[in-house]
Amino acid sequence: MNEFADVLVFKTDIGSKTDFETINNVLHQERRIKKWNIDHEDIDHVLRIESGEITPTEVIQLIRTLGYACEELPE
Amino acid sequence: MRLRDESKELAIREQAIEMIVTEGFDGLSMKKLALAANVSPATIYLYFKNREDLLNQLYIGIHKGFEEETLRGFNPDMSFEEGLWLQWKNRMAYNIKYPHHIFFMEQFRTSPLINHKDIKGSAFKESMASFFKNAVKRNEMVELPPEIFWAIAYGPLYTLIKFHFNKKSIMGNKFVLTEQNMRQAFQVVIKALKR
Repeated sequence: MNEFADVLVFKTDIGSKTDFETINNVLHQERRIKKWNIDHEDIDHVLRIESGEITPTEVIQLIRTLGYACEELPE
Repeated sequence: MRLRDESKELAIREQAIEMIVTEGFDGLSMKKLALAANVSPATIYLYFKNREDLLNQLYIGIHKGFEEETLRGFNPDMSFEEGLWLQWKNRMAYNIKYPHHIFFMEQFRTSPLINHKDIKGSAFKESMASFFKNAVKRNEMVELPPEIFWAIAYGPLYTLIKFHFNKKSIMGNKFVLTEQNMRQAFQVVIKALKR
């Protein structure tokens, strides 16, 4: 595959384990998301999502509704 | 739409190896790496899930390259002397060509990362095991515990390679590794290990 159609990356403030649990409970239920992970070692707490169908705007809205900062990592 | 760019991925991998060689694993951050490789941090995350994934992928890639070079022209049915000499030559060539890769592999192996589930056993190990089994079966080689065997069979080679990179030996004399002096060391080793 020559495209990264399904990889989205965001800068967030999802820092602690409890924060992770909160996000987990929601993302887990979002069937359009195949895989996701947060790089806790990175100062930007990068959220990486593998999904064919969800849009960045939808992800940002989802995360912000939960009370966390979220913006797309610039290309 | 972000496109896969092999040259970008290669730049990221090579820069990562350089950074690890000069600053160790702790020196590697995704942000610093992005700067060094001239890509945005987002680009790194397209190819690698996180820092741990990057390190594992680097190891897997490097090890694959090492295996291919080391097995070049090699056949597990070769005679013990022929096979071991080829191993020496191939490993020497690989070390000279990719000194940073070897350093990286050593660092990685002695770190807790080596037990990651993505790192699997390989055809290389099987090929080498097969070679030694054949040599023992044909009574060409003395049987020794594997660690002792490895220390004698490869230890001298790696010592000479170290001297070569330091440009001098432990005695302080100038040293350059050549096929000639490599052969000299090999003769002694093969004498010790041959039946």
